[in-house]
Amino acid sequence: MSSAGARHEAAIEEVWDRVRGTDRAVVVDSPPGAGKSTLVRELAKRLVAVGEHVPIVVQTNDQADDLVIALAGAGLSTGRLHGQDWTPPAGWPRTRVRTGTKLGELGGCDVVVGTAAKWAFVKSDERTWPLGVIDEAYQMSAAALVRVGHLFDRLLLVGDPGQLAPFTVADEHSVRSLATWPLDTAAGTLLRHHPGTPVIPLPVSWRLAPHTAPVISDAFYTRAFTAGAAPTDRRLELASLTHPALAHAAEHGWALLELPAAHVPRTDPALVATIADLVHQLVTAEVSTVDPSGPRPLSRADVAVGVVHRDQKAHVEAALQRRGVSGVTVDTANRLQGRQYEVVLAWHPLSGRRDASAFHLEAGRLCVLASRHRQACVVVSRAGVEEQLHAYPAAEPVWLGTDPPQVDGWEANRAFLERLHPHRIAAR
Amino acid sequence: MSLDVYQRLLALSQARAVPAASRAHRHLSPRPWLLTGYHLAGEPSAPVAIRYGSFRDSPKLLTVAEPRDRALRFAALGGLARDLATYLSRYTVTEPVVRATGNGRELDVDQCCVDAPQIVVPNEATAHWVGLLGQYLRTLDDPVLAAAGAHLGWIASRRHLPGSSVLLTATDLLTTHWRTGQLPTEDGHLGRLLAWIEPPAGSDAWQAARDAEAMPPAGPASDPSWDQVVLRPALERAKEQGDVRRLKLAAAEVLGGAWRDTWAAVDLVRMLPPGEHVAKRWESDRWSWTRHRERVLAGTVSFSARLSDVPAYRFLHELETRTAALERQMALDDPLVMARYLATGEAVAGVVIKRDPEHTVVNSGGRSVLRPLLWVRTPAAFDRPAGTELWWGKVGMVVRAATDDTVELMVTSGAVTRPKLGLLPDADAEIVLAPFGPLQYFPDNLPDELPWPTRSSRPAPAPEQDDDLDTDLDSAAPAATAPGRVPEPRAVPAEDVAAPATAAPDEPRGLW
Repeated sequence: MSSAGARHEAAIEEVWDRVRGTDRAVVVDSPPGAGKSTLVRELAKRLVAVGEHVPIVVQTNDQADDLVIALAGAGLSTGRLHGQDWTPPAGWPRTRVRTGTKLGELGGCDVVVGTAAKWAFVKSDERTWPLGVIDEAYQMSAAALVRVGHLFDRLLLVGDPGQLAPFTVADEHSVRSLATWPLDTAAGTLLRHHPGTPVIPLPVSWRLAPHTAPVISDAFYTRAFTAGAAPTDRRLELASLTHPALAHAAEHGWALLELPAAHVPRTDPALVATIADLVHQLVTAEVSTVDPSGPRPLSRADVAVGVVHRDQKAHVEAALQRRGVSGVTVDTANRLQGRQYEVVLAWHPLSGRRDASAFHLEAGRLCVLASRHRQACVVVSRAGVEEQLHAYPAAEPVWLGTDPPQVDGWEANRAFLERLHPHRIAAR
Repeated sequence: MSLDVYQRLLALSQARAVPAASRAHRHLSPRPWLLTGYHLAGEPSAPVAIRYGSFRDSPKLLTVAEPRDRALRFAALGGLARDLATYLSRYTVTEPVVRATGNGRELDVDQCCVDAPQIVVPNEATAHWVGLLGQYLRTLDDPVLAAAGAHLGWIASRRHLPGSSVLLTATDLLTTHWRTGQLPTEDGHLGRLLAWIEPPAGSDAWQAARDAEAMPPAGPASDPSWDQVVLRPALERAKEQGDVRRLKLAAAEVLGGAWRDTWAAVDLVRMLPPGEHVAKRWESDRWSWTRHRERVLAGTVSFSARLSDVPAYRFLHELETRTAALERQMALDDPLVMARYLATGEAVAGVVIKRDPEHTVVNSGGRSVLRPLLWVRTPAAFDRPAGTELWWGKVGMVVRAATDDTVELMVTSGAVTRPKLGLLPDADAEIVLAPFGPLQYFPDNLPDELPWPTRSSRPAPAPEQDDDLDTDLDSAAPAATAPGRVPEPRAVPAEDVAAPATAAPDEPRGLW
């Protein structure tokens, strides 16, 4: 076994020991693609093997569906607790899975998976569990944890600290005057109130390649991690001629495609067209993705476009539909959390903006966009982002009663751009 | 394209403000209580002069001959407190009103005040000052002043809640309904804002705004040169010779501009017909006023400088619910607000050119179900992808396809049974499809006390005995005695932060 594999296994055994120990809560910090889902599946299996019932709290319906499919695939009898409007996705398992809008409909299931919003409807006088598992605990807000915390005597929180911080549609300044900060992360609020809680980092990213992992680790994480794959394990092969940015990214893992500097509306039509053209080329050219399991053609499900705002998503999707491209994921950073693709095209959050607002500077937003890929990531942007950063030094006030973010958004943005400097390509 | 940016550019090119709304989105009381005033420079707790009242031609004027003298200050504020009490006493009549309770599903009949008071101030800074005055007064032993403090505290707390009209600022009233060509921060100056909306004949907005800036500020901070040249001699005269006439004259003159401007702002918005949902939102203010009065009468009114524990989470839920509801209601009430969504492409306007009410699809259960189709001709290409959800009132639909001038939609809710097909828009009908569906109600699902992961496990100390700190806002969940709670370190003086309201026990649930 490789040394990376050994370190990963050791971390998993440590988590298992802690879970079987006496700590009231355990936090697992997982960088992108560090085997968090595998860990949750493995722990659920071991817990069920020793006779436990395992409730799992996730944050979105997509995450719940993915996890249920994985757990059922591992042979566990799994219940999916869902809301009224839920419909099963394609590939929903036919056996070992029960679904229901109420806990009572899931009797006999060893594992029950639901979103935090759905678990909030379960009353603690109905039932409590000795141990609960929270997945994506850095995506979950303290406000969501307050609504489910009473269901569990002990908690295992698993998450990626580089994710987006929880947000609100309300005016944040009204909320900032509170003595409690309801938009803290679930893991953050637990660690704040229970400082003795053990935090176990997973040391190896299996998703990112050796040449892309250090950029993400340096720019966005306080606990360094390395790539588990060997440098020769993976590559993207382009048989036909494609855009230089795609060719560069296939070779180096990164490309920063820069359009001429301009201040443009949020739904920058030129950026939309550039991204749609890149996607079109990528899915029509002969591209194969190679990893230790062998080469295979790049499919549309392997490609994703990460954007910043929902209207950008709508415009890119519509542009793809006009080019006859379907099946490629287009979504905001917020909704891409926890997902993985071979190739990702990322809309730089600061592209074409006149200012650098806290929203667009958030480290988690850029981190999510830049860490969804296994093979290559093309960041598409208007030129001039560096100047923009220097013109807008971070001016967020320090809020009383909250912990400062572990990673400063402004510095993370600057560091990331610096690392991508050698991979710049000017758009034609 | 953002309509907001377009309107600002248009205002800039015309040198005149542009309407941003065609309905009044705030409730306007037939008899508001206006307040404008100055405090001593750098000392918000020392009012120099306050002009207030419900009658525009006969305002009351409070002046304090020596604002640093607490006895004089409280004597003067006592007059204001009594006048406020007289104004508020008009709003004690109740009527039975049906309201939703529990999780918004059960109905109940309860007594609610038929109307509630409304305070209008010139600007945000004065609104903040009203809250500070309330905080200051309610700690006093004098029952009249303490009651006024409690009322001002409630009034000020409502301004944090989107959609509340208890405390209005003239600047917010105007920026909600008009766009100017100046910077948003410049819109905080009431005189400048009015100059853009109604420049005097023969002068353009820029000139009028410059003229307005030369006028005395709307407060509560005064002009330093006025302090030096007018206030100081007037105060000295009042102090040394006991003659307050000069002070009163100076104060009446200097506060007159803000007084007239605040009324002018109310008049301008009053000319707009009220939005349909405004009365519903005002009902929630009436409920809050009713509950506040009950607490004052029972002697259980209390405030928290900063919310913590469960009330903090409840406040966030309240804010989120209200923010989303206000956005939706304003768009549905007002075509000019909906135009913002048309401009961004989130909404679609057009003419129904074809219908297929008999169209069916096979659902996941294998049954054939009615899903009517509509084709809508649009003036510009619809640039959102297939699958986008839109609503026409209660009729929900998804976009199936779009060409340069036509959108094909499939109805998915609201008119998918034969008896309800009549609810579909007619052929040739002009319709606006909005990104807002029926209002969804989400219960807050909050526990009575914080669960263990979100509070510290150290044992709770004895409850604080500190009269300076107003804690325990919500009698339903006394913060200081919640088990296992360790008080947060208080790093800011209580005066620095206005008390947000916990609206929890006041509000009808899920009605708006």
